[in-house]
Amino acid sequence: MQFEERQERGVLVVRPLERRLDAPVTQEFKQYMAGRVEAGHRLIALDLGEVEFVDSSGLGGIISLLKAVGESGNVAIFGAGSQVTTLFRLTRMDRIFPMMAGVEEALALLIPVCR
Amino acid sequence: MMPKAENRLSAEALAKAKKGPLPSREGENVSKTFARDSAGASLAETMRHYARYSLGSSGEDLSCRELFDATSLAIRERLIDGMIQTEQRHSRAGTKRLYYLSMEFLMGRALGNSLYNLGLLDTCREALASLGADLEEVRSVEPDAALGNGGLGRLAACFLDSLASLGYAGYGYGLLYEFGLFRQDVRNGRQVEKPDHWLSQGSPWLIERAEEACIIPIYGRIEHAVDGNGEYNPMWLDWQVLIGVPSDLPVPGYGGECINYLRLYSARSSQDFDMQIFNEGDYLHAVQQKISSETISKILYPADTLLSGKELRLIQEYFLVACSLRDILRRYRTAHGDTELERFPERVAIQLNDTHPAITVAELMRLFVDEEHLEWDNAWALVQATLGYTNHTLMPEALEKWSVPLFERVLPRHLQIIYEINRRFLELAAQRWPGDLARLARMSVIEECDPKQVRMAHLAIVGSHSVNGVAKLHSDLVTSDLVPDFYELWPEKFNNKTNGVTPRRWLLKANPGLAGLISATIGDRWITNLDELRGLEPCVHDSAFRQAFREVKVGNKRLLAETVWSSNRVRIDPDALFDVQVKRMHEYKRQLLNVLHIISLYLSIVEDGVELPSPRVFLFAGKAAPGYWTAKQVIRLICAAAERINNDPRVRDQIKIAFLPDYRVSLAEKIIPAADLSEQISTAGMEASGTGNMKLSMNGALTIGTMDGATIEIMEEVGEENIYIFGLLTADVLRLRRQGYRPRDYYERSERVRRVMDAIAAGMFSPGEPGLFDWIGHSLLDTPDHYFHLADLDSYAEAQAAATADFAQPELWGRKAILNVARIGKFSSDRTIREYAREIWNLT
Repeated sequence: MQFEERQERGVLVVRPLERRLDAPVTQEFKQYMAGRVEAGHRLIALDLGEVEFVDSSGLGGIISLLKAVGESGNVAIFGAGSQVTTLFRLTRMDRIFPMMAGVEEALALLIPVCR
Repeated sequence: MMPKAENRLSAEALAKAKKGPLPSREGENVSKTFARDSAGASLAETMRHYARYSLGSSGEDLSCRELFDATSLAIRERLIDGMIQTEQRHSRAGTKRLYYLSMEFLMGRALGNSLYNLGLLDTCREALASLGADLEEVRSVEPDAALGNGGLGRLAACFLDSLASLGYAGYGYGLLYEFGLFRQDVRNGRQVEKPDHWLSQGSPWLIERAEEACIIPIYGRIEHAVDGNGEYNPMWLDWQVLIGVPSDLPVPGYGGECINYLRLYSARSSQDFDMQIFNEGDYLHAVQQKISSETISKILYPADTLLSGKELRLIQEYFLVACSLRDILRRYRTAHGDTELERFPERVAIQLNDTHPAITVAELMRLFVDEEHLEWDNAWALVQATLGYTNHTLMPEALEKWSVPLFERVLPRHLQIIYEINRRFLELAAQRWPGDLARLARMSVIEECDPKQVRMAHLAIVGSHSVNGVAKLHSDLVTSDLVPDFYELWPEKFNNKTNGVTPRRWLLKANPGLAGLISATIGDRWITNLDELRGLEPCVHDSAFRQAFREVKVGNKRLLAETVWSSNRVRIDPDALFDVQVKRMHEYKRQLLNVLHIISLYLSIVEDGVELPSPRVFLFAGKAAPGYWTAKQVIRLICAAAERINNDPRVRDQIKIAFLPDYRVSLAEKIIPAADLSEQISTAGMEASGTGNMKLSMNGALTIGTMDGATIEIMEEVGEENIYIFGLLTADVLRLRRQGYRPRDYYERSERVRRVMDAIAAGMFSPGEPGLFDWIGHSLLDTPDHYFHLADLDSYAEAQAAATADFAQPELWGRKAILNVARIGKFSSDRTIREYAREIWNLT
């Protein structure tokens, strides 16, 4: 599984380069993200622009990430297509991970937390 | 005063009528698009094009199936054009839409129906003739789309025809079963079931819409979390995913102006979305998963199968509902954007055909609350204002319940929602009846037993603004016996919509001879306004009309006689009284009562030397659920009686019996126009409506029946003197049941009952297998038979005698038959749909 990542204003922006975030890749996703959290990143914006489908294990991986960043951190999601947005809504995970349209909205959501 | 019509039918009109087909309508009601290019030559050219480029054939020596495919594809072009135009018209006008959710649509064959409704019958016949083919032969190769068991599914199909013919934006939503209702073979008197792989050669009518596939979650668990605001946030996690792929079947209304669709979903595996898994070495596992997902739309469950605990059936029902609602919401958003959900019920009506799609109540709430973020109260008001529920049965075993543990495993979030709906509903009921715990327990959506059950009828009633039965008597019994507490709470929700059938399929198409005669006599407006048939009433005085009417009937009987010979090798006399009982095999429909009467006639001929006033042919057709032992045994008895009686020289051909195998829509279209007497003999209070009774009467058969279902209303319309009513009334049945029914009293009192039961017990119909039919004595005589066969036998035999005596007077019988046709207008599904549209759906 491949990722693109960059830092913007203290937020780690991660873009998984996969069409499906599902069982076969979830473990790898979790390990990679756990590594980033261990490296000290607590504010993470997840760019799901490449992802067309997330199954329940993929969603579980994203929940693990939220748990890993702890109370002092936060995770925002942006760039998700309609299919992925629907999956977040049907699980009601969109109430925990606000679904932002673009990176600026995601950063705006995350940055106040560190002040 | 109606004018006296003696001999007013012109010789020209009669000659025209005898030729059979209707006067051509092309260029009249049909849309101009069709009229302009509908010449046979042009259609033949299009067929050649499809034969070459879709079927890969040079066009030489096309098989019947190839001709059928090429013809259907050519006609499909017109249907698709019309469908697009219709959609554009509805979109521009912002028309309110009705979605009819049903697990069954018994559509039958589509080609003939499309040709009639588009006004292309003669054009197509001409086009095929130019290719050296015969339209009737080509039509006969089309497999029936048997996506239903019987009345409920066929009603849905008739409704779609009426919705389109009346120009409503009304659409069917169902499942694309790979295997329709099993095909029935009869071998040595036994029913043998064979799979109905109706799609094995594909269907030219289905338009797959892969781009509109949707994702449906299932299974999983609820994680009780809190959201960013600290509010309770139940998350549905660890689900699996099904993919619903829709295919549309165009539904042309009569005249071709409005072409709606029936959207049928098939289940695909989510692996179809990405083949990557196949490249990762887990091919076999992937294929296995794919197969199990695709099983969901594999088969239609036969009626009378014990569904309780059938996880696959629950998943099928949910899959239909979830796919349909996602599609309905998607269309709504496309038309109205994201922001106007509060106007949803102004623009959308959803009708639940029985409780099978009742999960709609929970799924629509889930969509509104979880995905659209509406407040519970707002969402609930929208759900109730949108949904209507049609009840189809009073039989307790057919009222759906699902065990809570099963429901929770398959649909954990839906169960949570149902519990919340129920909690709020019981609060409301408790305000009305404080402290009446017994009543609250009766009304609860959850039945408190072990294990707990979800009562789907209660869920549907609570979640809908309208609850209707399908005939007056049935609707009354719904409120008085089935759910009286709910009626007391919400009397305004309950109403009646007596069923109807489409005259396009059941008269115009099935009986071109009679349709032609009617049109030649009163014009063809009856096709879209069946009340016009009243104009035939004066024709009972018209001897030429009566003669023509009789000739049409005898012609139809002759055709059926050929079918009976070819399927059963039984020769039947077209001049005999054709007595037909065609419907699902079920104890409450009492095919057994019919056989008991035949046996009594047989005994009177061979033992008493009685001569019948007219020879009689008894025709049966119908499928028994594969696991329904008694229904299958009744088929054995019918076949055994046929074997003995047909071949007993002492009978001198006064009685012939045939059980026609594989009853289906296309066979019904052959039997019904040829029937003289229509058997509607269910135990009073048990048949919700029946629709076969309407089709038969519409085709000039007289009814012999009990005061049950819509037969009562048929009697009110055609007149008591034109129908043979017998037997216990619903109140009698209830009283007898309460007092204790003792069939042996009837046995001792009635010589007929004794004689028939003794003959069966003596093995008269099972010489090679003694004891084969001992169960009949046990069920009808030794136990208080739930269906009261023996209590009704004498009364039934008297009604039969009256019918036979009348049939022996052809002029009298002809008048009665004509009056049945003339007075059947009420039972057009157009009338039913207008009532639904006005009183439930608020369609314009």
